[in-house]
Amino acid sequence: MTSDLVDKQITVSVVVPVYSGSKYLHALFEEIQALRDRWVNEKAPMSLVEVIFVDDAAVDTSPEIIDQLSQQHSWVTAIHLARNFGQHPATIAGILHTSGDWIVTLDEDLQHPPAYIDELFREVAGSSYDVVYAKAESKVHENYTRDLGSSLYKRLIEKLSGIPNIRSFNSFRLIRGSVGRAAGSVCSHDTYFDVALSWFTQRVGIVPMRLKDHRFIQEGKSGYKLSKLLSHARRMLMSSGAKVSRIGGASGLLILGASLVFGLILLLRKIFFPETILVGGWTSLILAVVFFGGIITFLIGVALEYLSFLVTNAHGRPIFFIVDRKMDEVLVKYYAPEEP
Amino acid sequence: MIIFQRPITECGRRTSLHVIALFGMGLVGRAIAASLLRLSEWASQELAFSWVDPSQRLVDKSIIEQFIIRPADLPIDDKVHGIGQLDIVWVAGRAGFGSSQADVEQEFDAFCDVLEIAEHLCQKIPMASHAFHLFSSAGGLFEGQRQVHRDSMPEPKRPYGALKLEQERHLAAATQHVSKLIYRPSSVYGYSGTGLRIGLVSALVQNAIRHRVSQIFGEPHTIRDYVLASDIGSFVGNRLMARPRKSETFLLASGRPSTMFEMLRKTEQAVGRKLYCQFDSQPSNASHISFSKSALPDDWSPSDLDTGIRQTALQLRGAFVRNG
Repeated sequence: MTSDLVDKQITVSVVVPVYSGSKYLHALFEEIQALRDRWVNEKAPMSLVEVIFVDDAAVDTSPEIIDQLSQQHSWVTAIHLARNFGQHPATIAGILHTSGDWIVTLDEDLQHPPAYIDELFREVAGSSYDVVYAKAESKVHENYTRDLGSSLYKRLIEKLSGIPNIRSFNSFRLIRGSVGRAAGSVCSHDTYFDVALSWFTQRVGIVPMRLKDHRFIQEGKSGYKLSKLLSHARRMLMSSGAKVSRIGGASGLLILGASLVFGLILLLRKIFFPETILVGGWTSLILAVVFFGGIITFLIGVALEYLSFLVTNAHGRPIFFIVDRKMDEVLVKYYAPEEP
Repeated sequence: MIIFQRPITECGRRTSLHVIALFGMGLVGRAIAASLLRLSEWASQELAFSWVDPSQRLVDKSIIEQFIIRPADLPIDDKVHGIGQLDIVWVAGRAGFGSSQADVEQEFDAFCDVLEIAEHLCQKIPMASHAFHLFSSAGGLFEGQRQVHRDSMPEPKRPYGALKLEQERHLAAATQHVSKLIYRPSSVYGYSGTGLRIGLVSALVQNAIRHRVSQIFGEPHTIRDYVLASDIGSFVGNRLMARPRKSETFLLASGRPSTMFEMLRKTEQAVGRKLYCQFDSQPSNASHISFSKSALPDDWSPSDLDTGIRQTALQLRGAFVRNG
């Protein structure tokens, strides 16, 4: 390792979308500050240089709290969105305001304890990942129906979208800065951020940890209602939309093939076993229907393929992306087990 | 350089003159001039100021000083009684990140001569309110630093940054009768007409329209902070119109770091064409620079990047249509 790499600090930015977290924000900030101080005291190579709170048109006193925090601490930035855009756009807005080598995104309600960020970095040090998601070891909501619903929902979306690690998607994530900012900058208003991340990297890690949705446990309220979950599912499928339209294209081709085979069978029956077809003109009519039906379905499939191509382009999926992982050596050295 | 002049009106009576000597008519200089013309009615006069020839500059200096001191020469309709407010704005500069020591020395000599004009005029017109506005460079001063805040110390890494720091020091040491306003803009983009330095976005848009390759000194993930020239123009315009002024330093950044990748993507979207880029990460121009929002002036409201890029692209396309 070169000496300038050893001396270099890995800068970390934390992004917190804020909607109704006034009760938790002070405690959350204190935990983040504790982590920042601990890294300094332990002479860790990571340096928490900024916290960005994104006010997504919050419904409580959160905007005042984050303004106050940003006035008191130069490393805290408060961003106020003009209207409620939703958690993902707020997270993207925050990410596009970061400048750290690594970006951590977490929820406002202490569901994602900042102290666990260390665990995410340990995973990067072990495998040189670009994105690391936290995964709840046990039931997050301590509510059987809610947890089962969440799990089934994620499985369904995984099948439909064809993205292998979709079940690991979590808003508590550690992202390599360059990858996160690049993914954020190609997102359109309806792109699912984690799907966009998967366009830039396949190096995705998962760290199981004890996570609890305290707000849901204590108040029975969650930021996610059924309508929001459906909206999430729609966005996830549309972002990975190439697969959905490709299924349409493939089925068109399949129907054309089947119609040709069926048409051939009917033709052979008419030639070799004419007595089995009792109604005159039936064969030609069915042959025409089957053939043109197949052709039309196939052409719709071709149109869907073109559409999927355009959608992928519109979503800004890159042809390639270059990443620099040299700085990971510093983490590897820091987290390496000490020799006896 | 260009001299602007307007009468100052108090209680409906024209009492004195406000004179602004603007050195530099590049991207930012033109934006300041446009802002001034929006804020008030000015008479203006262009005068020569030699960059390269020190002996010619001596002659130019003397002409400029005489011109400012004798307001009667300017085409003002009503009689006025002397200069009440005199601002000298240094927004000139041919040096850039890649400039050599020799380039920056030439620029520094020219700057010193302009500072001398300010001091002479301060002695000759003691009753007026004098201010010197210096355009420094946040990128040059804080290269390689991230989350630059109010207490961050400039640590230039190349001759260009050292020049800007030396200019600031030189101004600070000048006569105390002159208010010293220092502006430190980050990477400036925008459209202010054609000129030598057009800024990154304009260059990208022009190249995209002409299907040319853009050479970019940096890497796709290089973080910079971009500000729109017209935002700077408006901010400085308001400062020039204000009175009295105290010595201050302003960091004119957006506080919103952007990667080159993001810039390219947004420009492609705004122009509707593919950009062809050649990245050159040598000589080490790929270091990140970003600024904390808390370090920005309270009354500074930069446009967001999307709007700025679209606006610039639109203006440039308009310019292309006009120029055939």
